[in-house]
Amino acid sequence: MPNPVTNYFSEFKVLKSVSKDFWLTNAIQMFDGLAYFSMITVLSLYLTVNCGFNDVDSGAWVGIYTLYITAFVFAVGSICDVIGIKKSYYIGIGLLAVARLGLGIGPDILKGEALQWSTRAMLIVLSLGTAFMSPVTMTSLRRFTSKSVRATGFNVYYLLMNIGAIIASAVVIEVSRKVFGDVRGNLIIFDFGFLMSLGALACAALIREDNYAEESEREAGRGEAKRPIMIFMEVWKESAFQKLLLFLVLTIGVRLVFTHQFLVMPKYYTRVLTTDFELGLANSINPFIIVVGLILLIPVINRYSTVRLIIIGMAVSASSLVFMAVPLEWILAIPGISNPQQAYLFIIVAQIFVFAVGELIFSPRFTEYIASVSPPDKVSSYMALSALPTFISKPINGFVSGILISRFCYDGIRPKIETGNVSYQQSPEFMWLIYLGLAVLSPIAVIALRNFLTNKPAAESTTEAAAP
Amino acid sequence: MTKIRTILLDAAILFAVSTVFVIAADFAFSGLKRKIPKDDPVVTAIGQGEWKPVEEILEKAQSDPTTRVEVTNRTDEHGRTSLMRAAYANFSDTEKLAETDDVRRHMVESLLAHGSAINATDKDGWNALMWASWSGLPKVADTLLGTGADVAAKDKLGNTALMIAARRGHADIVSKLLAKGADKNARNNAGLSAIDEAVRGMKEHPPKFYKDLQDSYLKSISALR
Repeated sequence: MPNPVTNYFSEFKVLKSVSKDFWLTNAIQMFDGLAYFSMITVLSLYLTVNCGFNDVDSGAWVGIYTLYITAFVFAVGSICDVIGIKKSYYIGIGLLAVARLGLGIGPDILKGEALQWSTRAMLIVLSLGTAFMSPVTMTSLRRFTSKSVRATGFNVYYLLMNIGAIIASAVVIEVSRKVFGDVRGNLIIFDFGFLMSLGALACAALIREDNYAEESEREAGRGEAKRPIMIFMEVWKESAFQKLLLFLVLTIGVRLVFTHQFLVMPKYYTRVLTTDFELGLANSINPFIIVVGLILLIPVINRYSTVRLIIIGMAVSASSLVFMAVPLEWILAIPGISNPQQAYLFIIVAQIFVFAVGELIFSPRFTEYIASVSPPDKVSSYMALSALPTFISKPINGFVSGILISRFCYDGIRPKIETGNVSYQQSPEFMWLIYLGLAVLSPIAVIALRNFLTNKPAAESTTEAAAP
Repeated sequence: MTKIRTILLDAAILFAVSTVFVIAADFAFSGLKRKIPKDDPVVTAIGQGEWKPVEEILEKAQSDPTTRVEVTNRTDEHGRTSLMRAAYANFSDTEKLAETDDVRRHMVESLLAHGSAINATDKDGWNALMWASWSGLPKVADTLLGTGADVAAKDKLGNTALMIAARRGHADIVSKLLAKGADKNARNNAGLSAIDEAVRGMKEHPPKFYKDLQDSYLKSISALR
């Protein structure tokens, strides 16, 4: 039997032939990933602890930040085709550098309302900068790889991104919070992000953007890019698109669990455990499992059908919340667990592990699914618009998470849990029961509507059948 | 140039649509948010361990008795005052906890000097002394006890500060509470006394994993006998 690790890495040999611009793109991504993943984990804590936002406002603003990223990605997604890769990088990284520096030093020079308004402004700048990075990185990776090595190039990118997430959590967050404490540490993480932006800027300056790996793509790239609003107007009446939208809406419940990772979990961890809990280490488990799974599991599970894997993966991911939703007494009844600290640690690790396995199964299948249900000439349009449902759900989730945290997981709930002052209906476990309900709806709804979602309209099926 | 203008226009449209959506969502959730008080700068500064800005707020409010009461005795949605927040900490690192105890003691002194109600209770019936007893902040507890904190106060479940400190194994606080006349024979709604709580706490923290806590639990138990 072939060794999956050797198999996975042997594929990378083909990258010997790629230009240094490909690696510079990955270096930029690594710098930016280290800054992004460390920042997003502590963002909700930073807003509350360092800027004085209450739980509701901090949840809302993390939601608003992610909403603006989605909105700006729609708008500036095609900008690098117009102004070029380097200029796009300069603008994106420049905005990120300004915002990260502003957020890092803001609490030291401003207080009260002034600080909160400057933080809100900086979050919008940060979202615009973040929106630049993803499309320009995709364009760069495509441009600097030939067709024969492109798939491998994207695999390396995905691998490095997850490695960046591991380092950001296990090293950057851990060291910052350990050395500088749970308050100052948050600011250091933003300062670190600013330094990473400078590193990314230096790499961007070295890129030769005219270095097309496929000469044939030089002219193709100069075509007129479609406006997102035009794309939407073109496809919104198509039944395939409507079905895709329905599918995406149905799966929001479980996909929102991703956002809990930075919206809810940091406060949950530090409030049910301790303020100085090793937040970074806990958050590094997920990308670690993803990296290991990419190597060991993906080749095996790829044998199954896309929809089946999506349903299984979603069900596994949703079930991860069961650990958090059951009454604490049930966990305390497990042999070897004798106090709430141990019980919550068990719950957290189990949830992270099970969720990561589910994510590993269903997350990569999403893109595949969208491609499979899109008419062949409109794959990119459907892909571009696939973020629409999350566009609506992100701010709602932000507001809801803030309200739920302030009710069921407020700062200081731990003493009340330990002394029996918190009933199940007032506990963090009840908050997770609400989220579990939402998440479980996704696989159930997809199973119920499976035939409708996967059946192509009669006319399209006939056309396909008639095709050679 | 036209392309850039188009992109900028799209960005502006999408930004406007997103903003409208955010405002709509904010409005939709305003009913649920109404009960949640606005951010309290005093509590934020307590969390940051920065006392200067709070001193400034309190000094400023000193001249106006209405504002003074508002600032020092404002409660959050769980009925907690800033004094209770100053008496609460939750660190696993004992050094960090000791540092916090030092800083918070001054905060508590200042809050009390500015009119904080020492025996105010939150929705569960906890006063600041109970928060300090759970947290393991002996200097804060000392300050509160020296300023007239009620050692006999019980929460809704009948727990006293002594029971809470005993359950957590904070021997130093147990001794201070006993010295101030806390009743070691009092029982909570579950029928448990402080010593029962200490024994229960010790069982919950087996020596295999919590070697450092054993001494403290034993000291508490012996003081409570």
